[in-house]
Amino acid sequence: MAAGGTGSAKSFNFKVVLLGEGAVGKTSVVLRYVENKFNEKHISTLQASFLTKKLNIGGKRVNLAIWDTAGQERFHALGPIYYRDSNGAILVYDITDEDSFQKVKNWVKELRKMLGNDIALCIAGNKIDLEKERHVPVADAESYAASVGAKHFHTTAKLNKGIEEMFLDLSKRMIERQSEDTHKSTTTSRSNRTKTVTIVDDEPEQPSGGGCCGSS
Amino acid sequence: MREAMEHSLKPYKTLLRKFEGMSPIFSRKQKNRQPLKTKSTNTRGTDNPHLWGEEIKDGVVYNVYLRKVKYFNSVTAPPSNTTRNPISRTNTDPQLLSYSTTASLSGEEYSGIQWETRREYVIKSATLERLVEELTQAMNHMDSSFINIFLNTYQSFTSTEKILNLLIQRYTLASDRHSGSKSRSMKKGTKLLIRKSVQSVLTMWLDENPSDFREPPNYPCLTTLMEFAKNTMLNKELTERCRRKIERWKNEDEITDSDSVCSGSSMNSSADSQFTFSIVEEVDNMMNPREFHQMEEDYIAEQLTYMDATLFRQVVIPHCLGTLWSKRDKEDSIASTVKATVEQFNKVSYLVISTILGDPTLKASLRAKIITKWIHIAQECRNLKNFSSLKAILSGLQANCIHRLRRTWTAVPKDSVVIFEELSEIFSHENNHEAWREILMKEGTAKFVDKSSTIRSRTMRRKSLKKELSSIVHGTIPYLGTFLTDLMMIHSAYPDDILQNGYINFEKKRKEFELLAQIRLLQKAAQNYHIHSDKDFQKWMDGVKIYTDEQSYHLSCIIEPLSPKTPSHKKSQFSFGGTWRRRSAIFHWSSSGSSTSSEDGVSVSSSDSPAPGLMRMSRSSSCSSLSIELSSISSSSSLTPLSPRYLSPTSCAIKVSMENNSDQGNIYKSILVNHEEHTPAVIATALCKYQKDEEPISSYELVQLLPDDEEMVIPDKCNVFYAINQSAPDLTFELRKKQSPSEKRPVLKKRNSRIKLLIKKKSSTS
Repeated sequence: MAAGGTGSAKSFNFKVVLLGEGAVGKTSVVLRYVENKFNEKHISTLQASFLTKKLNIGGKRVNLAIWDTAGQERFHALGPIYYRDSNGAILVYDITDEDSFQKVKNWVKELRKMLGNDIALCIAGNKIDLEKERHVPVADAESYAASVGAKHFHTTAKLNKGIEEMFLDLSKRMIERQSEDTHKSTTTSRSNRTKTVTIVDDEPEQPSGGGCCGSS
Repeated sequence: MREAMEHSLKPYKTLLRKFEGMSPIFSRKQKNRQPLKTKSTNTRGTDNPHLWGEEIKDGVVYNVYLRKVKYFNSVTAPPSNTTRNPISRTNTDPQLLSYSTTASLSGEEYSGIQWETRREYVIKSATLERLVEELTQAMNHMDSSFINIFLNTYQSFTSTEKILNLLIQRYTLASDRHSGSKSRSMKKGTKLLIRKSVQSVLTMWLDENPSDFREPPNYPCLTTLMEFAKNTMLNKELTERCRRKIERWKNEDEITDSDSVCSGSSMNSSADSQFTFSIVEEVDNMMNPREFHQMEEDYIAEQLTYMDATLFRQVVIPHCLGTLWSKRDKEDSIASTVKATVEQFNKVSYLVISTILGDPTLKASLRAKIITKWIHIAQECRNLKNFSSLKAILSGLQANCIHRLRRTWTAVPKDSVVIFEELSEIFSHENNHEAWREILMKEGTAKFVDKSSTIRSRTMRRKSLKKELSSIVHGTIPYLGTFLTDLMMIHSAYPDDILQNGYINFEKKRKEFELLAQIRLLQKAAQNYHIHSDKDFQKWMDGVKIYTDEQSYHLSCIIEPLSPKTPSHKKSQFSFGGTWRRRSAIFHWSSSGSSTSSEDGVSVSSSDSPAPGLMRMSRSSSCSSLSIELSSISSSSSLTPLSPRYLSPTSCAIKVSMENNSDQGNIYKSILVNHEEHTPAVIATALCKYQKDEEPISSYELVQLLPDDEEMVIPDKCNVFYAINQSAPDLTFELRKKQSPSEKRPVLKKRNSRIKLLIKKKSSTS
């Protein structure tokens, strides 16, 4: 169906959300990435619910719409509205702050639960310019990322490192996923047995016991 | 660089205009010059001054703008000793740059001069000390703009204590007795002026931003100020004011010790006394404790609005600044007033979710009624211009656990769904929240809801007709989130210290203040609510059980399992910002229920409008798509007629096999599950049948095997009978050893690859 499919002259439109605790440097990462844009347009209007970036990967045109929730992290209920329908997510934490890494884990859990494998994930350990104050061990972060099928990147918006690579990798994976999905939907694979459903319940809450047989 | 500056010029235009209006120096000149017009004969054809360059002087970097000033008549030249005010003001002699005539400059008369070009100095960045100096000079020139910017943003680069000390220092330096060299070089008149302006700044500071000084328990800055006013400035009035403030705060802070909300609390009482609504009588007749369904929609909206207005008015403006707000403090004290509004917002969202999911046994139609009620409450909030609770309610309705309840949503009346869509459009992300910003512009400080607003639709108008008569003057409560994001953007995009020399980037502060000033205006407008607060409502709200995300999602799945073919997010009923009906959708999402394809449903229809609306989803008509979904559900459930395995309405038989037992063939044991049995009990029965009853129950999990090689893990403490997905042709289960958490991780990913929570109540098919 349509442009995500197998056509030759195709362009991809992806929505990417940036998630993470406040002050981990999400905005700086995006601004750094789309910098050429921000001087003239976005900054002068000072208003940008998302920033855009155009890429060309192996002849494929890719348009990224990057959504940043900066400043609204504490509005708890907004998460789903932001990440629903996104193709990729970048989960940013601050390497000097363990709590921010924990927050990333929570986001991964929620995203996987709600969107399954339909979303490509990147985990960004930001502020590596502050390596001396690192509180999140590299090994921990990388093995965690691998365990949830996310790619881990070491970034610093300040020195502009790792950011370009991260977005490029994410874009490539989003393209792959989309092509895969197109393929799958035509060949209806019926294979591996590991697809299971799990209900992650930290605090299982039992609704009103038995006998609740209200008919509907 | 230059381009960026040109862009940033716009705000100055306004600022400069203000300065012209306010500066007494300027008006003096105007008197001399007769009608003086700054109307454009500018080369650019506007009255925009244009950037000429930068000038650095004594710890200040100025942007210098050139402006042509046109004269009508011959005018008298300004006295040549006009003090140069470097903040942002026109400089005349001796810096006049050009004349249209060649008139001699020698005399006092500039006869025949048509226009002149003047330099205007705008502070770009400066050292802290210089900024404080400018602060007092601005006071001399009644330049409230500079003072406002400074007082509302200084917390992002320094502390109250520091500024206070610098001001005190400046005062002392200008005292007659001071013997420093710098002091001696000052004229007596200048000294007097400085002392006067320091006093004015301090007074204004305490008046406008009293919360800066509210530092319980000892109020060190205010105490310092009081001492200084008493002993040095001999300002009895200010001393008295400080004393009274300390006294009052001490009382208040003792009472509400744990209450983090500061200042403005006196407003509450005044608002109480002003109430004009007469809901009270009606309220008193209602039963106690109150139930959600017993409360009128407009009553709930009003009560929420009262709470929001109170909190919003108490927001300490500088707390919204990116630097302060984004601080990841572990203590709650920072930006507590902003946090309080966010907490209220979250509370309302959770309230929506709790009321809808609270009773999982409710019929879909009754649950739909609750949703409908919330939609109408949201609408009432809209009428009250309470955008905070409006957005909170909409967010609650769009939360995963509510959003996915398709069967319930189909039972929501169409016109309510339309209202919901329209309300959601207010917060559409389209064009960077254009709709919301527009509304805020139009209605923000207006007293009435803007009836002509494009966002307001016929349905809303129809509904609001009823209220027309009682339409009372309203305030406005904005959704603070967009402001916070904008402020974060400025904070991240502009450096604090451009030259890395310790100069404070004051230009950035100006930009930040533009937004802060808007919030402040809205705060003033928020005083226009006259709602009587009802303590019972607060009590009810506090009494409602709030679920965690996990809990509510779990409940949601019990209420309405999804068909195994469609992961929840695929058939999004609601797109971003709830914009349903599109004019020019760029993304096209197929609404077919095919399982794995989501991205392949994407099409590009327009290439040249990249940013705005990139992600909008196409949906021709919400109702038709809802009915499609309905039919898909009914068809899937019709595949699974109530089979004999249900032995009674309260029990059923399931087949349980043991993991790693498959080599012995497909051995399974039949187990009877009744409607009161929870997971541990069922596992125990199964283990018993396999003669493994000595093994700990908790190390096993029960997994339902579904068609297409899918599985569902039954949660540990779940009521199995209701958790079973009976759409499967066979109720087959597997008992397997739990994996340790470390082993679990890689699997988790795959497991979640298709989340289909298929817990279904048996009743749904009966």
